[in-house]
Amino acid sequence: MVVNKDHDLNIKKINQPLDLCSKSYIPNTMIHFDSVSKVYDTDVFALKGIDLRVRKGEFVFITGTSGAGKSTLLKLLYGELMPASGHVYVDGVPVDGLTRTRRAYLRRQMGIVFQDFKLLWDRTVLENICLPFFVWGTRKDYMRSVERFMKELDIWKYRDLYPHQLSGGEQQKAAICRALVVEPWMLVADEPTGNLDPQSATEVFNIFNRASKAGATVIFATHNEKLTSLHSGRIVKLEKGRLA
Amino acid sequence: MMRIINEALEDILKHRMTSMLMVSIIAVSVFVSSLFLSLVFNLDAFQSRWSKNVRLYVFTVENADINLIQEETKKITGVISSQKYFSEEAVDILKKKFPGQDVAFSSTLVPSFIEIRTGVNELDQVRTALEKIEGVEDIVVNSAWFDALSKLLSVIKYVASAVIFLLLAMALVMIAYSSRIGVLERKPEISLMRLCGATEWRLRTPYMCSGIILGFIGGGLGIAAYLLLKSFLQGTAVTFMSSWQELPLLQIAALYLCSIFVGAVGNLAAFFRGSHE
Repeated sequence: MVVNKDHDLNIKKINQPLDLCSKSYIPNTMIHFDSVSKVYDTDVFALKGIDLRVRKGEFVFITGTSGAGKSTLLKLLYGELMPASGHVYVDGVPVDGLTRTRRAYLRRQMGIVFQDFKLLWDRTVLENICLPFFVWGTRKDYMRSVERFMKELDIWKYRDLYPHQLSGGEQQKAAICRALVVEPWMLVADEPTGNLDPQSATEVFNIFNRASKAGATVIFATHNEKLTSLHSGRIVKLEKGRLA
Repeated sequence: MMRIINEALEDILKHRMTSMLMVSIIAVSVFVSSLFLSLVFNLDAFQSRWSKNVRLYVFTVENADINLIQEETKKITGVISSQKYFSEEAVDILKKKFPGQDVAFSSTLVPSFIEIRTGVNELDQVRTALEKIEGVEDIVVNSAWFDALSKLLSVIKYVASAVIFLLLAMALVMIAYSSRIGVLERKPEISLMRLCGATEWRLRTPYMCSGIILGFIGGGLGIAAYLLLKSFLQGTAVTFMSSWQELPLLQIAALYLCSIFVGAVGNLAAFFRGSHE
C-alpha cells in the first residue's frame, strides 16, 4: 500500500490557502471536528457538540450502537452532509466552506467505503472499481494497481461479473477495493467488514492496517468490538450523537 | 473528450425511446419554426418589394408643358419611374374600365397628369421636390393602403416570430421533462460519481454532449423535412410558390444552431433538476 504521493499537489488543486495562523490549522492534524452538531429534523440531533482531532496517519475506530451517529460523522467528513453548527476541517481546510469543485478535489484524496457499498449494478466489478479513475479522466495507467488490489482482496476472478452475481461479502470487497485503488491519504470506511466472515474481515482489516502504516489516516466506523482489539488504534465511542 | 462523447452516445443508445422522443420533438419544432421563419422572411421581401411601389399623381396647371414637367420629375433622386397621361388617354382608360358609362367621362373633367413611382422612404423628399417644379398644381399620394398593409404585415411577422420562439421554448421544456426521467434513473450513479470526486463540470458534460447530438440530429431532420416540402411544392407548381423565396443559408444555420442549443440546454436543465432533487 502506497499513499498518494501527490498530496501537496492535490491540496493546491483544492485551492484553499492554508492559513497557518488560523485557529483551524493545527499542525499534524488531519481531521478536526470543531463543536460540530447535525440536526436531521427540527429537534432530532444526530450529532451534538462533537470536538474531535485526528492526527495525520492515525488509525481511529468510530464505534457505537446503531443510530449513534457514526455514519453522520463520516458523511460530514467527506461533505455529503453539512453541519448545522460548527466546522469540519480536513488538513486545515473547512469542508463546509468549500465550493463543489473544491470539494470534488478533496474527495479525490479520500477513499470512501460506503455502508451500502454503492456499487453500480449495470457495470462489471472491474468497471466499478475503476470508476474513480473514469470520473477523474485520469490518463495514467492504473490497471496494474487495480489488478494488484483486486488480487489482494481475492476478487480479480470476478472482474467481468456484475455485482448482482456476487455474494454480499464479495460486493463489500469490491467496494473496499474501489476505495483503496486510488491510494488515498485518508480512508473513510463505514462498517467495511459488516458483511464479511471473520477470516475475510481480518484480511480486509489488515489491508486498512497497512494503509495506515504507509501514512494514510484511517477512520474506521464499526460496531464490531472484536475488531478494535486487533489494532492499537484510538477508539472514539459515540452515544446518541455525543462523544462518550 | 472522446470518453465524454462515448458516454453521451452510450446514454443515447441506452435510453433509445427517450432519445427518439427528444429527436422528434426537436425535429417537429424546427420544421414548424422553419415554415414560420420562411413566412417572416417572405413577408419581409414582399414588404420590401411593395415599399418601392408608392405612386404619386402630379396634376399640372392649365396650359403647362407636361412634357417639360415630366423631364423635370425624372431628374429627382428617388423617382423610380415617371409616366405622363394626357386627359384623352385617361378618359380612354376610364371608358375601358367602365363600359357603358362613356357619357360620364369627358376630357374636360379628367385632367392630364403624371404618375410617379417611388420608394416609401423617399416619398417626402420626392414630394417636396415635385412641389418646387413650376406648373405643378396638385400632388395626390396614395400611400394609405401601404401603411395599412405594413401594419398588417408587421402584426403577422410579430405573431410568426412569437410562434417560433414559443415552439423552441416548448421544445426545450419538453426535452427537459423527458430527459429528466433518464437523469432520475441515473441519480444513484451521479451521486456516487460525486462522492468519487467528479466535478460538476465532469457530470454535466456528457448530458450537454448528448443534448448537442440529439439537437444536431433533430434539427437536421426538421430542416431536411422543410427543404423536402419546399421542393415538393415547387414541383407541383403551386402558383404562389413561384415567387416564394428560399430561406437564406444564414437563417437555416441559425435555426440549426437553435435546435442544438435547445437540445443542450434542455438536457442540462434536466440534469440540474434531476440530480439535485
